[in-house]
Amino acid sequence: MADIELYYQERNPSPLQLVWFAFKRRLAPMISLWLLGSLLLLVILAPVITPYSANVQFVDAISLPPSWTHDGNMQFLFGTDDLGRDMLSRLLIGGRFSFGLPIVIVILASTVGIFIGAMVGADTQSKLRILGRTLDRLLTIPSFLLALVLIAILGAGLGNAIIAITLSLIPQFIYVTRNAVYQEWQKDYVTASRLNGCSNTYLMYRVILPNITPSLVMQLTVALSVAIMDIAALSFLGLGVQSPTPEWGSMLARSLDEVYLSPWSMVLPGISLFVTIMAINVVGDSLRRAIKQRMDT
Amino acid sequence: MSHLLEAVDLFKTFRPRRAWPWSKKSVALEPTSFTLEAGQTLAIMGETGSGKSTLSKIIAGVEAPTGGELYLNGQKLNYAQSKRRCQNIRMVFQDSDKSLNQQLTVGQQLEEPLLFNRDMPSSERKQLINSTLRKVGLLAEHAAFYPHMLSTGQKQRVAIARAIILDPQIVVADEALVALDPSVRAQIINLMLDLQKDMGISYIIVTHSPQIVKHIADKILILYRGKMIAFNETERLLTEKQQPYIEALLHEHLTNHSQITGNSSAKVTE
Amino acid sequence: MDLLDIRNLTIEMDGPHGRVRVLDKVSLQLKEGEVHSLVGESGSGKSLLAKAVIGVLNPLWDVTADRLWWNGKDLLAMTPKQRRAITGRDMAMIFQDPLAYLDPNSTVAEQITEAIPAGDVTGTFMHRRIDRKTRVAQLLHRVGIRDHDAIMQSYPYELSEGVAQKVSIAIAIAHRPKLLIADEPTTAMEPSTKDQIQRLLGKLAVSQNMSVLLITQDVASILPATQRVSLLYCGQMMEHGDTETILNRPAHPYTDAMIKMSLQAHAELDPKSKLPSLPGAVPTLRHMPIGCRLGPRCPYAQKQCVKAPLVRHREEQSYYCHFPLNEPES
Ligand SMILES: Nc1ncnc2c1ncn2[C@@H]1O[C@H](COP(=O)(O)OP(=O)(O)OP(=O)(O)O)[C@@H](O)[C@H]1O
Ligand SMILES: Nc1ncnc2c1ncn2[C@@H]1O[C@H](COP(=O)(O)OP(=O)(O)OP(=O)(O)O)[C@@H](O)[C@H]1O
Ligand code: SF4
Ligand SMILES: [Mg+2]
Ligand SMILES: [Mg+2]
Repeated sequence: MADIELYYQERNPSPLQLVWFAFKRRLAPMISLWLLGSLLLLVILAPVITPYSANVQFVDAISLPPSWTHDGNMQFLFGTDDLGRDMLSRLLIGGRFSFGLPIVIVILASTVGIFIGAMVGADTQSKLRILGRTLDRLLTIPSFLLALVLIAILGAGLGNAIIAITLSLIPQFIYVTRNAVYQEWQKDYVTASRLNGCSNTYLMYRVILPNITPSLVMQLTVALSVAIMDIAALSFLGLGVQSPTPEWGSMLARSLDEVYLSPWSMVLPGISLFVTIMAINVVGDSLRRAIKQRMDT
Repeated sequence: MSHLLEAVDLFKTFRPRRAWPWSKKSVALEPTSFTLEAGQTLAIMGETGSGKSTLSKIIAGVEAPTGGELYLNGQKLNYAQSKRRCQNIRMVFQDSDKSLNQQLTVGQQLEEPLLFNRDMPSSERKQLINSTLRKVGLLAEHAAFYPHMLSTGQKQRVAIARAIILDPQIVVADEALVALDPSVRAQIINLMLDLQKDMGISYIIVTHSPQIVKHIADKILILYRGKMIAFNETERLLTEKQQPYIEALLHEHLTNHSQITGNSSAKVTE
Repeated sequence: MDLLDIRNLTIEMDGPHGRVRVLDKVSLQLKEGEVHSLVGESGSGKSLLAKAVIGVLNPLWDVTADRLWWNGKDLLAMTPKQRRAITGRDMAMIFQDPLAYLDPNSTVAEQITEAIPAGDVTGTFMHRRIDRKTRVAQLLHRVGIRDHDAIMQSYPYELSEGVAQKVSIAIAIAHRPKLLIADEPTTAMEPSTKDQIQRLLGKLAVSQNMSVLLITQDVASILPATQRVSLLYCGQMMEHGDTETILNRPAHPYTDAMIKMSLQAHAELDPKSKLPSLPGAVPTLRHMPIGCRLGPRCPYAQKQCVKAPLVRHREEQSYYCHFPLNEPES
């Protein structure tokens, strides 16, 4: 009965591990992943490693260009802005709001969204179906617009921006989770587990969750890049992070006035935003490809 | 002496998809009664859409009947009271690919019913899994395999292992043999017959194939548009004269080797 | 001249574990009006062969052949557009998984109407409308659907699998193709309808001079009207030839086993007795045996079988085996 095929691997990788292997084989996504990891580390350690406080002004070094240019000064690696504040410190501290905060927001939104989505998706008696339908309608509104409306109601400010973005992301998580869970629920293997007498929590966590992990991870990467954009955009409009607190979006907005005098004050936060979001998208995209490749074989 | 399984007036209705609340429900299964004895095989036959799957799902507890009762060893089975049912009535699905969880190893999937129905330490569970795998013609090593590493026949064997690991009295198989290759199908039928001899399992099988039914079934239940129109021993249904619908189900007229050859042109011109 | 002439068709694809040959030098000829059955277990490449003929293979795969001729014209040398024209007009395929190929967003009636050639219905607008409707009903009747009114209005997801198969057959025969490829068209049906469909396909072959290539897993379900049979295993042709000869005096061990394992043969055994079967399972693509691919499962295999056998002929049949069965005593 036994094929020879059965023996030559001693350790059998699980399908999720196989996705990871396929992901790992490619260079660009791995670089992006390392980039995001080091960015996270920098952002966490920012208060320790920044040379200056983000808001201290050096009157003798106003609008100093980055150190590698002709007029630059090694004291200020990335130069200073029009108030004489160190750009490097501001960028790193700003990263806490531009990159760290979205992570927290996504964790919050996904916890709530996945929980509700799982409940709605597993509900067979259609009690909660109305809820699902209502949230679907919400999805037709772009999340940024939804966040704007919420800000308009709550008022500007960092706390309100966080609440608004979190709330605007939740419907997507509910939608994705609900659909995935609902689809899995119809499948024979869930019925088989149900006939094994499994409890509902076991069904959810051990049976269904591993099978929908790929789509959830995909949604996480999408939500993260959306959250970063939203926070930057709100701050750019002056509705999110308030000055003098540094944030990449608000730094961009400030630099608009003196873009001809000190272009670096615009380019540096712009590049940070661009690189971060691109890295996230590359990771998400490669993940999708790895999953598809896994399905095809 | 009570029967192993007795169904009394089981029926099931569905609400059509695009229906008003007051419109009539469609009947998938009209009140059906039958009995099954230990160690016997019951075959459910009928044309497409006649309610075979519906009946087998009700017996296995996948769906609740709209009305009627099921008795196991003389005791009533409720849909909600699932423990007793899932220990004694197990199901094998048509598509072994879809009925196995792709993310769990074979061992983990076989452990699942034990976790919820048996109170045994993990070493004993391991042993039981090993011996069950051997019973269905696999090796203990297969416990560490993921389903995507197995062939169709091996997957169907795992599905059967999952069904018999709780030492059930009845195994329900809805079209479990149609998707298999001829060689694997013969192997699986042999396996099912062996298990029946060794463990005294009763089977309820749903199939379109009269040849398989003739080979393994003791009794046949025939459905026509949700209604049971015959329930009898295989011998008698085959030998006695029946109404045309039943005859057509039980006897495949044309695909006979002697008929393929020789007079084929006469057949097609009618 | 043969309607379809395939010589040494080979398909290779790049899998995750290297290059694999899923079809290995398969030859097949089909005459006009001939009913031909292609038998093989799953994974033998039957569907791939059919897809190669109608030209819907993945373009990344390597398709090579000494000949892939349709009515004397080389299909492989054509542009995709020319090829589509021929496929659309002269060929039709009933796919293995009908629900995946029916359009989920239009009703059965709409989909069948679409397949009826425009030239078939003439007259005023109302005439054409009524004419089309009766034609759809007729087609549904021919494939054994009695309550055509209800079925015509339904969407594919509302159909049971057997009915969906019947509907896809109706769509396939609506434009009277020259070649009908039926990929396991009757698996989900009860015997009486199976008979009816098989009779219908046989009748169409005779009355409309339509060739039928029937794909099945079991020799028991080949068409009664079949004139020739081919057996495929793991992408290699095992044996082909005249139906009567092959079923009565198979030369190839695989043919012999397939006949013994067929459902028809089961009926002649004692109830609950052991069924004969080849040991083991069909090998996966990664672990194809070299030489004769049946080797590890073949009861007659010997050392020589690690070399692929060449084709040999015996009266009405051709086979690929070093140690043929049922040799005539000379
Ligand atoms: N979930 C459902 N909603 C509405 N109608 C249903 C549902 N499930 C089954 N039915 C209907 O019940 C009837 C019986 O269906 P069932 O699936 O039991 O048939 P079957 O005998 O198994 O057919 P097949 O041989 O094609 O599998 C059919 O008419 C079908 O349309
Ligand atoms: N899209 C694909 N990608 C990779 N491999 C494929 C693909 N389609 C088919 N194959 C492989 O090619 C081989 C032949 O497949 P094919 O679908 O022709 O088998 P078949 O004879 O039709 O079997 P069945 O009776 O199960 O339909 C199989 O081993 C299959 O795994
Ligand atoms: S060539 Fe050898 S292995 Fe292949 S079928 Fe013939 S005897 Fe068997
Ligand atoms: Mg069914
Ligand atoms: Mg196929």
